[in-house]
Amino acid sequence: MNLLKKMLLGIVVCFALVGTAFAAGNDVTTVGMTATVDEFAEWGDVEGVYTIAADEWTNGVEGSTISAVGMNLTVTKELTLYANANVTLSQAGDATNNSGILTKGVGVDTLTTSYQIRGDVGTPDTAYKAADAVADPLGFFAAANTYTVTHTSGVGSYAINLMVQAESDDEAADDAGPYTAGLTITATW
Amino acid sequence: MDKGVLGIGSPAGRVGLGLFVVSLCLTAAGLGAEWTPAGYNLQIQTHFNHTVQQHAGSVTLTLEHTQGVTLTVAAAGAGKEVFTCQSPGSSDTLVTKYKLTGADLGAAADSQWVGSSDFISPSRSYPLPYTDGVSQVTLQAQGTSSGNRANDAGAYSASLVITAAW
Repeated sequence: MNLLKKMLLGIVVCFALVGTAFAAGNDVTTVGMTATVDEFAEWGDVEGVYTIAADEWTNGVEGSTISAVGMNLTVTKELTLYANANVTLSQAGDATNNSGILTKGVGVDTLTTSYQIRGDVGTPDTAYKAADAVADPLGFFAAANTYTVTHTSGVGSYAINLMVQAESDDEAADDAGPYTAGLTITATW
Repeated sequence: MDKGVLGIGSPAGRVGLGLFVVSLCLTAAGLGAEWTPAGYNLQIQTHFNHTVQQHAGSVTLTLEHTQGVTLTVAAAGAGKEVFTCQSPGSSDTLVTKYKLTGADLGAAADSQWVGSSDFISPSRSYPLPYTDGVSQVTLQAQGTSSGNRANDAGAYSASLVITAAW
């Protein structure tokens, strides 16, 4: 084999080796991804509507009903607020449902109704507040009667305990029958 | 015999030149595959503003390749396969799922959402046969907000590395 042939063979072998070196390999790409969660608050109930049933009232025995003058019944409704921002709660009587005052029929007779909020709020109530918007003494529906919920990172679920008290008249027997009322609690962030 | 400078005119030279050209072609073909561009971004456009929301986004990836390849997926770092909140003090996450789809994947394309941990499993791979030199696959990412609390607000990010091996 002359020198030229040897050189050509060398070149071929060289490139064949180079080709072999590229026979396997890989290439990578990086995909960066982003998503955004907005600030929001949402009541835990699907429709944001809670109902206090007649059998939830108690005066020590659940399902109690008013059967005397000057008798108090209470109920605690545990509401759940999902929030990822600091929230202010404000309350108003539902004008379509006796404005938050337990009433029989259409304004025929009423029970003295009062409320308080406890749970994961900045300053929980320690006593019932009347179902009115009076500024002094502070009514439950007063504009100044608000509650703060402070969001903690990673928590996002807060217990809001609405406590309701119904009190029968001290000096007369209230009409027999069901009494109803409604209110709205607004979470603002 | 005309040997010429490289002996191209000789039988040995012609054989050598032929092998040289073939070798060059093999070398070029051996380049295998290349993502173009080298990096991609995927954005879930719709913001999350309720519990139990599902939103998704997608990005189409282009691979130039000269032979069949196998695609595998890995997290770009520990836990980076999951959408994680980037707000200070938060490590909140969205439930994250993926799909790799596209006609070029054939039967290997995902038909269902795959959980993030399964998606980056080393045993999971996608054969991508050679067709006309350019293949496109679509990476889809889905986030789901929590059902029993509000996820922390802010930007969430995840990052995957997709490898084409031949």
